[in-house]
Amino acid sequence: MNRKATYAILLTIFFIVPPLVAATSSGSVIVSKQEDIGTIINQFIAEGAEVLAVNIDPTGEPLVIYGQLGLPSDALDLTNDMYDGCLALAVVSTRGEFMEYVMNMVGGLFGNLSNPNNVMDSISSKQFESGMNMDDIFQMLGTDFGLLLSAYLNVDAATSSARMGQVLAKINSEFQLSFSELTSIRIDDTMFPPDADVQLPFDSLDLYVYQIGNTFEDSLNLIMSGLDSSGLLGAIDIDTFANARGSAGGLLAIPDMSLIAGMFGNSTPLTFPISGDFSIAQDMPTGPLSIAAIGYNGDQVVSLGDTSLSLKSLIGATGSLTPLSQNTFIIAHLAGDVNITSVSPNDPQYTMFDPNYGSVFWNASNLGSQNDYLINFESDDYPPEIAITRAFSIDSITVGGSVEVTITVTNNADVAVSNVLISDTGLAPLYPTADVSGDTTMSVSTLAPHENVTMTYTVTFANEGGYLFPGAILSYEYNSRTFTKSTPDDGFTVNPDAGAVAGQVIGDAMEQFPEITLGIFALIALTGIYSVLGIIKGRGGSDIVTV
Amino acid sequence: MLGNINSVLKIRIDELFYLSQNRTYNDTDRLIGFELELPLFIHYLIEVKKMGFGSKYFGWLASFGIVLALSWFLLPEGWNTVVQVFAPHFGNYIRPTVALLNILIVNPLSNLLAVGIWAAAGFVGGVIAGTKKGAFVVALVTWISSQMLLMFYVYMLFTSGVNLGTIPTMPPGASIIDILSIPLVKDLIGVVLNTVGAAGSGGPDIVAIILPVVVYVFVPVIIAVIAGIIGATIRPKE
Repeated sequence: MNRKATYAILLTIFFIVPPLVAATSSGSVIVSKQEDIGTIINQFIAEGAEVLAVNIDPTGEPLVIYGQLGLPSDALDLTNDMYDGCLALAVVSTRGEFMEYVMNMVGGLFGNLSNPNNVMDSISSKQFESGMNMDDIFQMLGTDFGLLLSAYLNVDAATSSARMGQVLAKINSEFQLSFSELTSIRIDDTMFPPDADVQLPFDSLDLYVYQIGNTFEDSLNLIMSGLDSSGLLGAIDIDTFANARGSAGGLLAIPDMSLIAGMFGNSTPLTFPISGDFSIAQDMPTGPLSIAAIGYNGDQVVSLGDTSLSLKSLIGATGSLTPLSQNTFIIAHLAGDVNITSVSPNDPQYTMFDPNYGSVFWNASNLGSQNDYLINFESDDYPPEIAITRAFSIDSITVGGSVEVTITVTNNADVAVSNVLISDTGLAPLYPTADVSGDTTMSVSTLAPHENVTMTYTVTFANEGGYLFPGAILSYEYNSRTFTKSTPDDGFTVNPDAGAVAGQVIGDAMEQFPEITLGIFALIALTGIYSVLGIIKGRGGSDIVTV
Repeated sequence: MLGNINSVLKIRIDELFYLSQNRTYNDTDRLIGFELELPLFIHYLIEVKKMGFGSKYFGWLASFGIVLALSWFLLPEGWNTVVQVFAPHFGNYIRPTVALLNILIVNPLSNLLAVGIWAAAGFVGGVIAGTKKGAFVVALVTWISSQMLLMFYVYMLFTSGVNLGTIPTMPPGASIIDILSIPLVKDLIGVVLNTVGAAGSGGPDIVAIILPVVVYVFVPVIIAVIAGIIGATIRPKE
């Protein structure tokens, strides 16, 4: 996805669509110029807004994001003095492939830092000249983590530290999240030798990084529990998000937007892909800004034969969906060649959908409480449901053991698919020490309805550790279209064997340093014999009580 | 003095007192106490302990064994993540290496587990050695033995496992955040950052970086010696 598409997604979700829907429906917000964006956001911040955004990819797999804008400010008490000088506060907790999924979607923005067309060029450093993929950084960061990051600008060290402590206490009391400090860094002129002639655009910047102590499920629940649940959030089942194959949740708070604007005060206006220029310094809203959001990506939810998509089911809701009294928006996008036939509810004043682009917008606040939000389409818009799973013969093994990996592809549909290709070749390039035997690729010309095929291979591990099995990839054809899906990345643990390590240590020592090793063993043995003899003679032992 | 030990060892608490004071029980002494019944194997344990009591050799064996076993089995989560990530690439020496590294470079304020391990090892070594001098020797030799073993592990790690061209892959469920939560890593980051921050008038102060690490290196042996002397004092050689 290119840079323009990236901007389009971000702007669409956060800035353009909600006011657009609002403008077309209620007339309370008018979006005629980019200069009004600041005004619109200020209104959302002041009034509070919530957005449910759904994207269904061509294979029928969903990406669901629910967020609140402005509403978390009260819970965070962003006008409190403890935020004085705080540039931003971010809390993020993630598990599974969600971040990777999202980053792939916005890959054009952060993809290759050496890309001459990349938006990050202006801040790329020399280290990236040889080409660096942000995937590498995210790979090292891992898929499962919970972090709080915060920055204080131009505040003396003791004060910023004290304020940070107060903020942590506030978040702990409001959200019951617990934190442990990972590191804190103070950047100011004293960091650099005078002859380096470094001119910082600020007097000091204190960066704080904390690790979230709660489990992932708890983190999502706790983050959402501190928010306004009188709208859609009240109906959302957080477990639906937490148990998906990839999910994340977080908070972003900017206590004073003017601090950010001040940092960009003399910057060159950024050019957006939409027409016109947007100057951050001029158009940035002032006052506190807060966003809280959770999201997930999941397995195929619509397939051949399905004619409608229930948004309610995507958020695990069971009752009716009640919006906030104002500024609740629901956005859905069905990617690919999907022919939307109708939507429900469909009030022309508060519903917009474009069959050509597969986009639907609802101004939910004006529609009031609804039993569900449905999108109807043609029954052949999505591919047959072909499932791919990967199973391990054993959960974990010790060093030297083997595991049998079985990939099963099942055609759950009533039609056959062709050119089925299975590939699970990701392990060997990552781990040269793992011995893979058996087929890791397989092709089937036709997979009949309700039939399945399996592919099995064996991996023997010489080293202990945590191994990443990248997702096994399936591609198949139906109706002259090719579809691709994969299993989630899997982890597999090879446990240590203390006895084997001890044996290996002795063996390697004898091989590498035979004289020294023999000498040490002889010394230990002789000393032992000497000690035992001494004890027998009564030199080292105590009196043994005679009975 | 001791009763029938054929099946059950019976001993009066006041007799234990006399025994611990190395005094002979005198029938004229007034007996105040109660009778304990101890399983027979406890008696044998006591006897075995007495055999080795007063031996620096057995003190070292026990102390070194405690250090190796506890460092292996009580490896903190952060270090475990290091092993999980790097072992597939660097080999099986990574776990024993980080296990010893974790307890051989110790900030006593942030790594209480290592402090506990060395205190336990030193104490047991001191009890078995039975003298303050013996406890000191046992603690020192245990520490030196651990250092030598660590050096061997590192040597083997670099000669047999490390492939510098390999980028370790983070397995699902793990994060570099876990590694950053390791007390030693946090301490070293803090040392480096503070040193860089304090180096505004010139280049980085190498001494300021190395000094805390040197202190951390000697913390274990200091703890073990102190614990050993306490152990030897509590249970002196009879």
